[in-house]
Amino acid sequence: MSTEPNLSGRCPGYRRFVSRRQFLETFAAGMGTLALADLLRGEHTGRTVGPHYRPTAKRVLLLFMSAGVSHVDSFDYKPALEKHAGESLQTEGDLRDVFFRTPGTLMPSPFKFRQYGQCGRWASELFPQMAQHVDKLTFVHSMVAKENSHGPAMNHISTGIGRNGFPSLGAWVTYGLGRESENLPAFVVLMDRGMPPASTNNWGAGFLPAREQGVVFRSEGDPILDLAPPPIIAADEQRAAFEMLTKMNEEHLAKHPQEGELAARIAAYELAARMQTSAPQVADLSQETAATHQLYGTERADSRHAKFSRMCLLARRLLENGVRFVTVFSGGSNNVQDNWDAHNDLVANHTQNALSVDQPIGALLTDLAQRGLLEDTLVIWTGEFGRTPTSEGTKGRDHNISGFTLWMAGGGMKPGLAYGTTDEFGFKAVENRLEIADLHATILHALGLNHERLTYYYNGLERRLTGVAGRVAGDLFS
Amino acid sequence: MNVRLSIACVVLAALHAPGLRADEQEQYFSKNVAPILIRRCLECHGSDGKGGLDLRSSARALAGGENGRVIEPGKPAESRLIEYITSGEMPPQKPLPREEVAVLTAWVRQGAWFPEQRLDAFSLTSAHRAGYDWWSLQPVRSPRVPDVKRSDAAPTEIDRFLLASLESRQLTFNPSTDRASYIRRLTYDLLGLAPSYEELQRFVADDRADAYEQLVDRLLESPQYGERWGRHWLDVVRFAESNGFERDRIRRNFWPYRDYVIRAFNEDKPYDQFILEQLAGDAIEPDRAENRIALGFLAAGPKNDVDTVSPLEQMQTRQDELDEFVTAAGSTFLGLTLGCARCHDHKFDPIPVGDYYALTAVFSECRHADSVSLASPEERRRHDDLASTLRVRGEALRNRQREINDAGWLRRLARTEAEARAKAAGDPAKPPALSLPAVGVRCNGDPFPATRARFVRFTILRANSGEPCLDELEIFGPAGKQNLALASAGGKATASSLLPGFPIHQIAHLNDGEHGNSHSWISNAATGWAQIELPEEKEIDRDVWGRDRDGRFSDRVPIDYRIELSRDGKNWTGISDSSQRPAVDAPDPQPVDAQLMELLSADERQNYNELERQIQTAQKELQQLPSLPTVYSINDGAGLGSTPILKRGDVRAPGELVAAHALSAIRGLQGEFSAGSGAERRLKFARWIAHPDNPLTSRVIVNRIWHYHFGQGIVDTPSDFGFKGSAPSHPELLDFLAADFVAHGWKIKRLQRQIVLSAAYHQSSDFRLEAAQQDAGNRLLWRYAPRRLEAEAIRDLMLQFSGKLDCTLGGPSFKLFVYRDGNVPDYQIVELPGPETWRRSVYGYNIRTFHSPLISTFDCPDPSVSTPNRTQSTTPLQALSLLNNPFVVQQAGFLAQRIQSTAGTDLPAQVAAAYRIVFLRNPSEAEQSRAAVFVAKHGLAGWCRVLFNSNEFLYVD
Repeated sequence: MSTEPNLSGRCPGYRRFVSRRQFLETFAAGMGTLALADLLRGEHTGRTVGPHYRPTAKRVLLLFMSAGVSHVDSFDYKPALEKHAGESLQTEGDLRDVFFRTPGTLMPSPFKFRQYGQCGRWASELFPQMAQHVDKLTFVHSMVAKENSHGPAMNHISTGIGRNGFPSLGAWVTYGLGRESENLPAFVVLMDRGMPPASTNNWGAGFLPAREQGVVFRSEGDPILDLAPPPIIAADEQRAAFEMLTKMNEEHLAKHPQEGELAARIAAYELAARMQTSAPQVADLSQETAATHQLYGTERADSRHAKFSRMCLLARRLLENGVRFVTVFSGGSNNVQDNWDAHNDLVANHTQNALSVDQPIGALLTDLAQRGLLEDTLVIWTGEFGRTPTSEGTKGRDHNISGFTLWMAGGGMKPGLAYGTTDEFGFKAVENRLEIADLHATILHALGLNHERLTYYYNGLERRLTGVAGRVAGDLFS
Repeated sequence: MNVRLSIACVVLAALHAPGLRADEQEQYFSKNVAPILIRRCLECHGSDGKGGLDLRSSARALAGGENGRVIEPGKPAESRLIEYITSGEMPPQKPLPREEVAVLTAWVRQGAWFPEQRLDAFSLTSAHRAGYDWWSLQPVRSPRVPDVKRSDAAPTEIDRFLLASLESRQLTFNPSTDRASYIRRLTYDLLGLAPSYEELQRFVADDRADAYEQLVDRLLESPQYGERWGRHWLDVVRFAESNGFERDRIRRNFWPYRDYVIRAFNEDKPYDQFILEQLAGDAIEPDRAENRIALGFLAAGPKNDVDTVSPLEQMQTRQDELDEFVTAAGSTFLGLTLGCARCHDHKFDPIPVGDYYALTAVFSECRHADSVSLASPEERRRHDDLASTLRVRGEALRNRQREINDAGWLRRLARTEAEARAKAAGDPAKPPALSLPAVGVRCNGDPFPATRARFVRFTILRANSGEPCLDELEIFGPAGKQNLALASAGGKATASSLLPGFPIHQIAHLNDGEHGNSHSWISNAATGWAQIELPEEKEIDRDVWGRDRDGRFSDRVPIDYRIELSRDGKNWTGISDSSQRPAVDAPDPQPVDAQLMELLSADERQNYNELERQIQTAQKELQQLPSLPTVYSINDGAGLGSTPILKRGDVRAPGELVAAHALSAIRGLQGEFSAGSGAERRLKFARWIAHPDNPLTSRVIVNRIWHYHFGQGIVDTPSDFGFKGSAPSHPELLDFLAADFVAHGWKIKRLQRQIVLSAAYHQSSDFRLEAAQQDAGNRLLWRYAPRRLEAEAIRDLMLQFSGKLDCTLGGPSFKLFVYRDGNVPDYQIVELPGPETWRRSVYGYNIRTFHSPLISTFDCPDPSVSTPNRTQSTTPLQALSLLNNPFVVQQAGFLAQRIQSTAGTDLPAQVAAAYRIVFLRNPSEAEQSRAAVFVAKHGLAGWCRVLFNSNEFLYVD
């Protein structure tokens, strides 16, 4: 293991690294600007850190159903709920500690279930398109969360900890693996209904360098904030400004030839200029065929459903063009109740939300597979927790952190597998419980990163995404 | 003396001494055996007791582990401990040196003597962890200032420490930088702003002997100094003006803490005082508003404001809050990562889990408080008096108005009744025909044929909503205007039931003569009845009732009811009911309208209107009464100064009780904090921190200050002076500075003056290959390391250069977002904020879930966590922000306007002015002509934007 590169980001060490590079440049000065440019590319694209071992996935697509999908109404079929409908749930421990509010009685799913695919996986009528792909999917039915309210729970699954201010999974991944594309950000975020619970913390860099934070691609105007200058600046002026800056900065560098950072900034402007061209190109969906648009449903009558379709199509284009980590959120903040938080009316809530995501996610699975991208793209579909098998009020379901379902696809996962189970009602994970730290360890593992070695020094500790926990669920891999 | 040799001698002596005296055994053990056990064995076989073996005391060690005994006193050959260490099996992968094996063997042979006191695993530093002997825990001793070869290059004491270590590697400082660079460097460093070109020129031309000292003093006295250095402190104390967690609700009144910090720096508040105020200002001087503001330090962290019914979650949330207080105090003032000891003894530093809980006990009743009053008791009393006077006056006026109002209503009822009776004329036995108006909210009357009765019952079959309410039930006879039901006239009220728990709703309110919701009865069911028993049988012919005579409430109005009379309280006769009125779902609101006013006499009317005017005035005065200022801070109570240790940090597993006390790691400075109120406990804790003999406090703060001046600290991990932190590059210099700092009254400005006037700080930033080959990271300070401007400075400088910087000091924070309150509030970015935001960035709201894109791109830290050391990254997004952000473009435009207003239309003059403002120098001829071409084609604003993006602007050397 001693041959593994040191991923430690301890500040003094990092500074030493930069200084070594400054050093190299001093010696490379005679080699001309080409060599310098190569060195800089090392800094800004590949970086010198890489995977710890052979990865099964190169990139990640996280499909996030904000505020919690009901597992017992989607992929964790529980016929016992029919038999025991209206009875109160008997379980170990204090129910008040588990539920957000007072639990009601067992409520059967109002949605019809049937079996799909070679593997015979049960799925409800909510997701007929996704269900067509069950043979490609790896289900985990035994997920366990820790935080019971949305914000902390989102923080937990996004950053490994319930509080704000810690680096997100995507930031850790780009910190560990660097960027694949020179022209696009390494970590991109797409939202269909504004900020999800916990807001920007879901893609924050925490104490990692700011470069690791996720970049929001917007659905209107320029895809990235400040990508293009305001209209008063003409294209030729922008070009001239870039040229002038390069010239001035190079002259400035010539006076301080050993300062790597000054050169790095020149390179950053070159990358920015390229991003200015390539980001709108990748965001331009008109380059896709009519059949593809049809597949994703980008022209659907409900404009919000169509928006989610366009986001899924954009996600594919981003992954294809070298973006390392893409998160797609279905559902906005809890303020407007416009997400999967079906406290009041499960049928109304989940029917609409499922309608929005089912076709485009099905399309993504088809499309990624057809293009050969699914092989090394790890797709994850999840919420921050599940929902109770008991009713809330008469028609809703409450938060459930004791057991819920997610699925993964591609990226080396074993297709058609169902891992772990919940009890007969779908309340508690009972077999192969997988905690969020385990999920994180598993995702990093797929990317060739050892979660115990992907560390960064902050305030007294070599910090990890998984804290002091985390177990790679080896059974999930094929 | 050679250590190994000395150990060998001792071992030999031991081997040959047939029996040692007790004191010799003790000496041998503590000098030779204990260090080996502690450093090599206790990591696993101490409190963790791996394999069941605990080597800390005689009884446990001799008892052995899961696999039986490991020590046979006197018989090393039969002791498995000796077998394991001899074969190298233990410690795993790190076999003991032969000398140490020999020591332990000799010790076992001698009888494996143990002292009575259990061995303390923390007493010595090992390869895995720090012990009590860790460098930063030792007392600060002012060391001798070293001699240097080139004493001319080291004019100050600081320089001599630095140069001595440079010279030991055949290195030296860079030569001094020129005055122009120095003033730019210093102004940025001390103020976070740039000098003007004129200031720079004046300084360059200043031929006074003390020109440098004059400059330093002038900048240290500038109010902008506190804005810059206060910001550094705010980084460390995780200052944020929102709650975080689920809702991240904004804290509108937390800015006073930010201003307090800025003032503290500007006033050069002694650091020990600064500590006491922030941890226990309320205990020092409870009535001083400033001290309540200072406690914001404790409240700066996140606050989970989601109500949960789960007791477990409540306990967890509270425990997290306590953890926040303790870890913030530990990392800020002591440079210790105390939070690591929440679940178990600290893995790297000598902090047992009990010490952690002893510190949570300090805060056991300390809680976040939304609005702690900043008013003095006198101000509060005056405010309350005034408010209550106004309220009383308003109420009195309202009562007088109500009397007139009542008269009007009764007259109106009388009129409707008269009309109804006229229509029914002729048949006195029949109730009046269907002609009553719909049920009203305020006042209704039911006329009925004159009947003798003693009991009147009003039965409600349905209300428009909720349980029905009556504010009064009045009974009248044909002759009188007198309400016969009044308790004062002998009437007695009863009812079917009463909504419990509300003093304003009582059965007795049915006939107390007082109207309005505050004097009413509410049934405890959707239906119900109210009854009046008269003192004797009387002839009666109508009732009057209402829900709320004041008309403020329109729920709970009886809309389906019947009235029954009885002479004996047993046999009842229906006399009237709601069928005489049009059926409605919503009652008539019965506004006080012109129709009612008509029924009043001219005098009454005038009186009424006059009262109304007076009521309005009183209300307005009440509203305009300035609210007393409040601040987001903390509240504390008495509470217990002790708390249970939570096993594995689990709130469900309370264990042994610990009383609040000082960290045992600091051996020379112990203290008990448990007695007294929460504020008193905090004060004791604060005094312990700010004690001149606390070895961490002074070292940590002088290192922080050093860190900000040079870009890296003497200890490169400013909030971690423990085992995982970095070792000091110049330990003696650190101690010299710390001792000097304490000896001279904990004055930060004095320390800074020493630093910025040193040769080390004056040196140029030039790169020297031979120095870099030995010390690439510049830990030895052979040059001044060039630095990129920090995020706030980039924004502030653009405003300064454009001439738009509003230098107002302090006050409420400005917003770069639109805040929408709600169950979960949200923050919407404003793309081009207005002039009210053109202030220094330190005055902008620090929100946990909203980060201004321009600033956060340039590594402005997330305020959710403490940031002792900002990262500095270089990204294409920074380039995009700086080129295209509307704010940058706008300020470039203002800079162009500013230049044009002075330099006119002459292009070369414009270019030269731009260079002088942004780069603080004149352009070369080539630069000038090149720029002129650009300006001619794309305009001056475009050129200013280029300057804002240039490395010469962004880097200070």
